[in-house]
Amino acid sequence: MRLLALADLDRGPGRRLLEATVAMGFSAPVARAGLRAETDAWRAPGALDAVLSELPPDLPESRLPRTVLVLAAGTLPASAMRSTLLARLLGARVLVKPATGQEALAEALAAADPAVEARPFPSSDRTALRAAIAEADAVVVLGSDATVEAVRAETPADRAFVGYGHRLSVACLREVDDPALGGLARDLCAWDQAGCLSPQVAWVEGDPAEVAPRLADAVREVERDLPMSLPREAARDRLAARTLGEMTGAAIETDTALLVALPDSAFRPSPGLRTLWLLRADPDALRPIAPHLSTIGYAGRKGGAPTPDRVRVCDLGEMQRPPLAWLHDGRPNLLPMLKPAREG
Amino acid sequence: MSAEARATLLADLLAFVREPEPERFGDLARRILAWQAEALAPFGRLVETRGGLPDDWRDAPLVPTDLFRDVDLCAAPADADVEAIFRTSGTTAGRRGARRVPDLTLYHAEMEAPFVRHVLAGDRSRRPWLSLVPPLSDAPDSSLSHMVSTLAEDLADRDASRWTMTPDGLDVEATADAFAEASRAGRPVVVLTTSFALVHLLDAAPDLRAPLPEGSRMMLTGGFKGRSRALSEDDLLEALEDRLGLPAGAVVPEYGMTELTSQAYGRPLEAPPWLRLRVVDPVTQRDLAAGEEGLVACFDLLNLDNVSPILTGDLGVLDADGRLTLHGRAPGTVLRGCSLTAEELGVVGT
Repeated sequence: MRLLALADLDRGPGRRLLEATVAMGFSAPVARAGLRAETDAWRAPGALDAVLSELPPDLPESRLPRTVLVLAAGTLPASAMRSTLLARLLGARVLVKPATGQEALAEALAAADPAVEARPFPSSDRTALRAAIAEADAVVVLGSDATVEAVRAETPADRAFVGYGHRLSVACLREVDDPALGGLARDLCAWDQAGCLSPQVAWVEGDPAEVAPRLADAVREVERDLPMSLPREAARDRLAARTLGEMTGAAIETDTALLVALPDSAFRPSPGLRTLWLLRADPDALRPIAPHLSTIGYAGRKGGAPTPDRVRVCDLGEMQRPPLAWLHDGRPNLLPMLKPAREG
Repeated sequence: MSAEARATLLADLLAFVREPEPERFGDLARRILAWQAEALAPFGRLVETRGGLPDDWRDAPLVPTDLFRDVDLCAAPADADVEAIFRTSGTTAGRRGARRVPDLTLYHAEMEAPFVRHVLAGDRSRRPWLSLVPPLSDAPDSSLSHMVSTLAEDLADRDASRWTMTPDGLDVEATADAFAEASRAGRPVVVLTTSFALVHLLDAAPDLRAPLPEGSRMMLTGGFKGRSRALSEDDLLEALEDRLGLPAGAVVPEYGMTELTSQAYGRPLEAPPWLRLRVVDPVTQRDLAAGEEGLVACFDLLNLDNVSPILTGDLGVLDADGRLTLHGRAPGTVLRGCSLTAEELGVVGT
């Protein structure tokens, strides 16, 4: 695939992709590591065969989409990149509508493959959206639930529609040892905790306040290679999280991350940018968020949680490295983009 | 610290409200911080973690207003009877913060003088009030309703006053009728409103044109909180002059919040002697020079049983005289990722 030229991040379209990713607010090392993880997933032995095995051997060519519209989220480039490449795997022309201000990302993808076209337009421009949808056999939307529903409402029933809305991910440390803490530190720092696959909380066996300093040491090791600057506008949220920890539990700041140990178990959303809540282990704590879960990273025994089957379970350290054949939100990767089968 | 010590502090604060001596602010602030660090365990832990009680009240750890959603920042035991529980509107982050107030003495002692000076321009005569703020009976957990209802007891011509914000929202027709009636009656009125209620009225009653009698005044408070379209202050003042005949000088901004006991008034906002307004760097929490934009912080001496050093979510600028001009809400963390708010997840109560 031509798009795999993106794997060379030092020249050509790969370099443009790296620069576009840095322009989204990531440090160059974080961008490079994240993009490399994604291209590694594509080049892993057997990865393409695994994802292509979704397709029935007798699939008529008429069901392959000629054009796929990908509406990218404004979070990180990996999801848009993966959707674009999957559509290309079906041989489709791909229109990539970038998030506002991220036109360079779509242009970088387009530079790697003439069958990919950047299609920037304001998100509020319904006419442009309808025009793009009219060109496509399949529409893939990555973004907020509201965005997914808004685009779904504009998509005619005879088009394939794939919406990936809000999801969140968490970590469960049933064993607290150095490999687990190192893995959690990598998951926290990957893509600066942006995106659906980053842990927002970690439930730990034992006292979270005792785990926090050990995790901080592990984060310090990782952040040397994956720096991050906290945006000024995030300083207040960071202070509020730190103050909550100092008032009710413990808070430790590293150069880039904030680890807050709280005495209870209830899930709370992270303000992001490497802020992690450390909570006491409680199997019931997952229940309220089960419908929204994407991934659980485990250390120690896996599973046993009251979660839907579609939830991805992985080792810590792998949360932001989903394999190509991963069933995103429990769905196959290629089948939902096929044109509907005609009866008769 | 004993109940007796608190009683001494309370008496000293009441004396300060009666006869403010600005040079005593620092000493009172230090004593209050010591009391709060001992009486409020979470605040005490925070102070300890940040190195103990500071010599200068400006160095006290600032408590972001968000923390009122997570922590009971009240000196009274959780099961103690309190005189009020004020809750935030919850429109910024969904969840509602709460401030338990064991004792409203300070609240009642401080609120009238600044209101009379700024909103009523020193005229205490009873006038008809037209309130777009709900009465206390309809919103018992609103600090704004508490304030307006309490002030109305002493200052409004209650028989001629109207309250048109109902539990179901603003009664637009009744409000428009009340303005028209006030315009015809020729007697100056006092209007109390939030920004979003006012803009909602102006939008929902496009034909409303009721020049209010000369001498009428308006207290305008709060932002738009997504409840109405947002309007710049200049545009709002222009609309008020055009449709209600109120000159800008008669429209007095109020700045208060659930987490504070005291209020600031005016354009720019002027704090009473027991409230210090600051503008701080969001990263260092150090004071910024006059004219520099930063986060608004407050030290409210009268938050005796809660916490006095507060960090708001508002942006503003101080002038050389310490008066504040608000620049709206501070942008939060850029939404990156697919993270949901707790409200969207349904894992928090309201």
